[in-house]
Amino acid sequence: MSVLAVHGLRVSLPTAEGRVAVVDGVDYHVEPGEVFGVAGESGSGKTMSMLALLGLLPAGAAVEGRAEFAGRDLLRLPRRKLRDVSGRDVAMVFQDPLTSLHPMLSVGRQLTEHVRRHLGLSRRDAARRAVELLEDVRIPAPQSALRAYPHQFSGGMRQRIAIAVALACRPSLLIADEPTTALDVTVQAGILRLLDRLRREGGLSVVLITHDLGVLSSIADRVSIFYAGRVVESGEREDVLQRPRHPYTRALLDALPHPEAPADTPLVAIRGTPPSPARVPPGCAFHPRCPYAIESCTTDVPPLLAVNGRRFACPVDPFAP
Amino acid sequence: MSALELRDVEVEYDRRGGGKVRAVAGASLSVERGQIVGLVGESGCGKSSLARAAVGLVAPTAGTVRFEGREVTPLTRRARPRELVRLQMVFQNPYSSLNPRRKVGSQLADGGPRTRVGELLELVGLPASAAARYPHQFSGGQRQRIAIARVLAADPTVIVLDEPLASLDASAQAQIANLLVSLARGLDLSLLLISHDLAIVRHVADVVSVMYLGRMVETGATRPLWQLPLHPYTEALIAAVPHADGSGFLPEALPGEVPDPANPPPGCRFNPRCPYAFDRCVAEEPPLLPLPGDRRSACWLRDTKPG
Repeated sequence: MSVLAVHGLRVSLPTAEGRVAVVDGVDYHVEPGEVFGVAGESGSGKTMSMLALLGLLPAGAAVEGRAEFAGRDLLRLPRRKLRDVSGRDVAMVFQDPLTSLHPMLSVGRQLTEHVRRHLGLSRRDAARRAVELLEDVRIPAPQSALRAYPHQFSGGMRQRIAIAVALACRPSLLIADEPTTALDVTVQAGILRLLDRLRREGGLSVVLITHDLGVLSSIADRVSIFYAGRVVESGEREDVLQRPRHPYTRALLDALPHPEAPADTPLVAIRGTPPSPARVPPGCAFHPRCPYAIESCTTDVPPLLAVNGRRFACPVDPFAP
Repeated sequence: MSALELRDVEVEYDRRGGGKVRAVAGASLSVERGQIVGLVGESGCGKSSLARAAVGLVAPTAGTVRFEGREVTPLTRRARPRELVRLQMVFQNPYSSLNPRRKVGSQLADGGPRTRVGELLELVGLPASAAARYPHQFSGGQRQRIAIARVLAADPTVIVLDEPLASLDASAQAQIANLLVSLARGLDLSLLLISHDLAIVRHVADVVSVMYLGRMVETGATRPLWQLPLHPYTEALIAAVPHADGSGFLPEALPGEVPDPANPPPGCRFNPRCPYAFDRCVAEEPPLLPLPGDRRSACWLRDTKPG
């Protein structure tokens, strides 16, 4: 059974230009011990679709759809209940670990407060658990780290601590929003390996949001590619990244430097820019930037069709095998 | 004569609460005419400090910076010397160098009364109509192109770019990377590109310098350096880059952290994190040894003379 199953998720926000849909009918599911990767350019709705699950949307946001988690619909839980779930069973880490860590509280306090509140552990048991958690995320000298404050650690160590705090109550699902974007590649590799180990050893399910297809390719089992609030392609990592079927997925991959390219080969940029949510083009939202668009793309929203175990929303299908 | 030459540059900062931190501890680098030099290294390695010293934004505490043979003197309250106007810098966040309240055209015209705004916009791939709009009306990638156009208005021969691609989506990165290559090839500009994105540096740079804890540890032509890195730190950096090939390859993490530059380890600065370190690495700091193929590596493993 899926850890999380999201159906028909829509999120709209009030803006100066009226109510604007930032997530426009998104479906996905996350299996136990799986890393589910979500990629897309900035403004594609990938973060909003996750914040919606935890009731963290800005004021005035309207949400439709269902998000089944442990037999409950997260989108319909009363606020108090949702807070229990989101502190304990679903945890989130962000690009900047300082958003989830309190600057004025010691690392130990932040780790123990969580477990005492949600798991009802004694002070002594909570302290023991805090050391275990820091060992788990490979913080050197965990005993002294407990007494330190977030600013005393490097960016990579802070992200490890934020992950330890997120894992404190043994959540079954971790939502990681660009967790390595602000880090050096050497440190990024350590965080990716950490997430990979946690899912292998602890059966943790991870939703990994990233704009970096390299990061996605390193640890995601299945991926969804977002564009303008909709999923344009989803499937197994190898299928989507090695044999993309949607022109947008293809274009994202083509924009990356290729290691074996001859000198001075220009990179292939996608023409134009992603639309703002208030001005999503009619039909396929990608059509103004798509070299394969035909007339119907400008009027009809293409359905996400299932083909050989993957789904993609392109009736032209220029990369059909 | 190199277009830009930094020799044994040191940059020190006062640390809060007393003491000094040597962010750049004797680094040399040169950029030839029409060449793109990539400068890579983890955050805190001193690459941004070196960039700032290169254009005179900070005064080096030792060493020299020469632009077309002339010494670069640090900025003062006085006007920048005329001969240094052709040495320009582009920053990571284009918003910080553009005035949000002025139209793009008028900001480009700051270059001088005879600035051809339309031509500059065309150079960076923007329509002439962009001149009549404000910076906030553009995407991040377009704003970075406007920032580059603004620098081009000064008719530079050398541009130092500090993380110009960070915080951009892949497609916008591709456009800026293509633009940089066309500036170097088409206008014969010399570029010093500072970036933590190794894949992009590999793609655009002719020559790469790798910096660690304030010093160069390896330099060489891009392709051979990537094919066979001659310093363990370069090797670790390259192994940490993820591959977007769908294979599920997990990049290698480099254990440990960059040490405090105020308190560098004795011997080779990389020795505490180096998987190949031996006795000599702890005892003696390796110089940047010249190697065949116009390469250099500061690693005792590459020393052919007995130590």
